[in-house]
Amino acid sequence: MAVFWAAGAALRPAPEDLPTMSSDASPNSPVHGLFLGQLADELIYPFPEQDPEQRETTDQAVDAFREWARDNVDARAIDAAQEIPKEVRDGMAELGIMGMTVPEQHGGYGFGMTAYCRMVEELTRHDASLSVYVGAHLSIGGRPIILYGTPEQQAKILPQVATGETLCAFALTEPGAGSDAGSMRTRAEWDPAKGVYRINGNKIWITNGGYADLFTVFARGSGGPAGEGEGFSAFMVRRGTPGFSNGPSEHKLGIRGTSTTELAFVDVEVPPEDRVGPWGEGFKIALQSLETGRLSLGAGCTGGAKEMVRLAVEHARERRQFRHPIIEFGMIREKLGRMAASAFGAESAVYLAAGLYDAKRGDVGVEAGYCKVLGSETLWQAVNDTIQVTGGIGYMTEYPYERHLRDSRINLIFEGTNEILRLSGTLEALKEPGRRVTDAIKAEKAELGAQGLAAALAVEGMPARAAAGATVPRWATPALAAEAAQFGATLALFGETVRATLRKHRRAILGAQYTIRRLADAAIQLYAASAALSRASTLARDKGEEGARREILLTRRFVDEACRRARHELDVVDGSRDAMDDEIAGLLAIEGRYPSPLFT
Amino acid sequence: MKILVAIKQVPDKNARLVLDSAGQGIVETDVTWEINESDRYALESALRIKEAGDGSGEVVAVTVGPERARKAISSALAMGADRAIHLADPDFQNGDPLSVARVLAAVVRKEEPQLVLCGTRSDDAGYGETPILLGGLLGWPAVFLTMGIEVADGRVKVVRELEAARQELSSIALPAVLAVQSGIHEVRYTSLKGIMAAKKKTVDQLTPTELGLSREKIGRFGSRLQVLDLAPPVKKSKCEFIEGKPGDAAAALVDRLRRDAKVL
Ligand SMILES: Cc1cc2nc3c(=O)[nH]c(=O)nc-3n(C[C@H](O)[C@H](O)[C@H](O)COP(=O)(O)OP(=O)(O)OC[C@H]3O[C@@H](n4cnc5c(N)ncnc54)[C@H](O)[C@@H]3O)c2cc1C
Repeated sequence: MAVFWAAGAALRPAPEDLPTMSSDASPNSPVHGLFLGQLADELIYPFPEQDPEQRETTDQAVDAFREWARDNVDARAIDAAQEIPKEVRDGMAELGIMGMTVPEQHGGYGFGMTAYCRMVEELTRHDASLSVYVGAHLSIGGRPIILYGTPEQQAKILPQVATGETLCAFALTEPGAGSDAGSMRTRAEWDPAKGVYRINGNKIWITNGGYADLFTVFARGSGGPAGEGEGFSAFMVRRGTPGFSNGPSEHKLGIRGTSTTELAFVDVEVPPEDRVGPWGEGFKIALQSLETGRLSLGAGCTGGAKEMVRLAVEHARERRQFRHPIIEFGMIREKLGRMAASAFGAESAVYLAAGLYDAKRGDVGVEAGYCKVLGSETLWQAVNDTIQVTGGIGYMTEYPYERHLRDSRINLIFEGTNEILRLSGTLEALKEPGRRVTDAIKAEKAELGAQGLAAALAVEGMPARAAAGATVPRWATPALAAEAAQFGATLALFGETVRATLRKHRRAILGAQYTIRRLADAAIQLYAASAALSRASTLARDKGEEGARREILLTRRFVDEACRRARHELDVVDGSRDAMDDEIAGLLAIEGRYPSPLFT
Repeated sequence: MKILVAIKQVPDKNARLVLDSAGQGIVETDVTWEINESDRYALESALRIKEAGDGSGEVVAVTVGPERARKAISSALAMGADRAIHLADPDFQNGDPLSVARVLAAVVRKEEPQLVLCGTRSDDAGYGETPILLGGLLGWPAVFLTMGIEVADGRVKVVRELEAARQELSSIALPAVLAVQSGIHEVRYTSLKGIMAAKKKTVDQLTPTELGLSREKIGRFGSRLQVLDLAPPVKKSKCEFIEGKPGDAAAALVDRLRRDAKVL
């Protein structure tokens, strides 16, 4: 069943294609646990730490970049020129930034996910354009070669990727294929006479389009050296290959230093040794590359949100009105409290997933998408709050605030829109509970009697009543007992709601977007809350509650709001409002405009 | 040529310092640390001398400082020092400039470099005495406020900064101690390559016994100088309006600036 979302930019294989957990297996990621109404304790607590040696390296790398950026990066000038100057690009290459995640044996620095995320944070704090430039190169553009390249391809290409001599880009989107990447029209046909693939088509909005030397291009086609059937694959195309060209850089709202261009392919010949990964594995390759990209994008957004806290506090301390610094006013303090706590929640969510990824524990694909959603929306809210705190100054182009507003908007759109990520991640996480509910219903139908029904419910594995209390993190530090209880109760409600929702919708859940959106938001909040609880509790364990007092405070603030938000979604999970929205949108679809004149 | 560079780890310039309860030092938790600014210039100078040489040169970074100073050493190695000596033994710590200079002198006698580079003064204690005392203990020439270095034929040409933007050029026989002034060159940025390469470099730890130093001569016990009290500066800002006709007010202002503020 090629459901629409599965073929989309989310690129998740249809549910049937994925291995499923057996009912007795423990969840293989924190979010998968949540959807079963369980707390995946052993994955969540203690909060992952970076290995001391890698931590020292990352600390030094972050410091080194910061020092260089302070002297050499002028975000305002980059924005105005709509270009990252060559000296800045060369400077980053000299520092080694372009090779951070390239394996050491290929001349890179072998950074793990946590290290990479910390660096992306620092890049974003200085200039979002730099972060997106590096992200397109390492997170997605070069990633397919790192993950799927043959030893020959890697030995030949990666050393130049690491030095930045070869800049990479990732070319998936087309005019007719945005979220729905599966509908792409670019084709790679095998030419048996010449022994090459011939690529024809157009890509749009490709980051680094004007700067890059090597493009990872996704195309569909049929045939190949071994007579392969129709499939979707990844290819490397070098700048300068006949038939390949790029358009001018688009004018954009933000991240103006990045070059976003159209790419045109007219009979571009690609030798078979430049295909990345096996024939027909294009979706999988794109998916895996985007997955890591989303985690680091979430990290970058977190870095941006922390920078917003700094800017907002700086202004709020200085600016005086009514003879007081405005930081003394409650409505300003509320914003600052929310900003700091939200940044803490998003940061905890990112580094829990990154730690699990580095430790190769479980599969954090869903968490990665959720972190991108949470990070981008946290940053957007933080920029909005900062602009409010800075008042009129926030609106002036002379100051950095409005640039942050423009720069941060893209994060909700690219690398999978936040809608698509809510959809794909949530449907993925619903698979195992869906299977269990189906089994239970089957058992009930088989009229096995009371005993059979009990067995079926046990298989279903989400008896919230029996599990009462099991959702409360036992490891939470005493100072967070109330928040742990609040979290436990909300998680129990979530598990129960998931089960009830699946029983109600059955397979129709695939199209129930209102419901999925709510489950997604509840899950995102709960996942981040569990990460924050773990982080503060781990720190309290190591340093005492006094040593962790800041983190405990931020966690209390974050978990309280997260649980309230989750509860709000769950309270109305199948709300009657949906029918109204449906009807209003239906009306609009027919009439094409605002439906009510003021006076008739 | 072998060059020894003495570096000190000091609190970050932007760190908010809190005095400890005894009032004799600062609370070190929550403070971030960095290499003293002029010491970074000294290290940069050493690296440039080495790079301009025939390839046989060696730059050895040495620091007297507790375990936390390991970070400063890593930074020095990442910048390009070939190896490092960390004097972390508790007996070395909390010394005055003379006892620190004694420790450095012992290291110099062991390592036998032709040149020792230091920063002019530390950004925290700020005595600016250690390099000169070190030269004295070794019987080597020592130059303060070095703004230019050129090594040739067993001698070193040194530009020294004097008052009123004047400079002095002199030629000094090696071995020598130079205290380098901030701003002498542009300091290089640390690269990931440097950071990774630093991991493979050696850091030697030496004890007082290995250096032939007795406890009474070094660290806290060897210090002749004793800090009696440390206090944060008291913030005193006062705004005063001088009333009167412009001429009288101006005269009154000049008088106050002379008598009270002593700035005229
Ligand atoms: C600055 C910039 C840089 C980019 N860089 C790259 C790059 O380097 N490489 C690359 O390949 N692409 C790149 N893109 C493309 C980007 O990934 C796409 O814009 C994105 O995937 C969304 O596709 P779309 O713009 O066609 O929007 P659409 O898919 O048309 O979506 C429009 C709206 O409909 C929603 N929507 C779509 N489908 C569904 C659904 N099934 N259910 C609910 N809602 C849905 C979306 O969430 C969105 O809100 C870039 C885009 C920009 C703006």
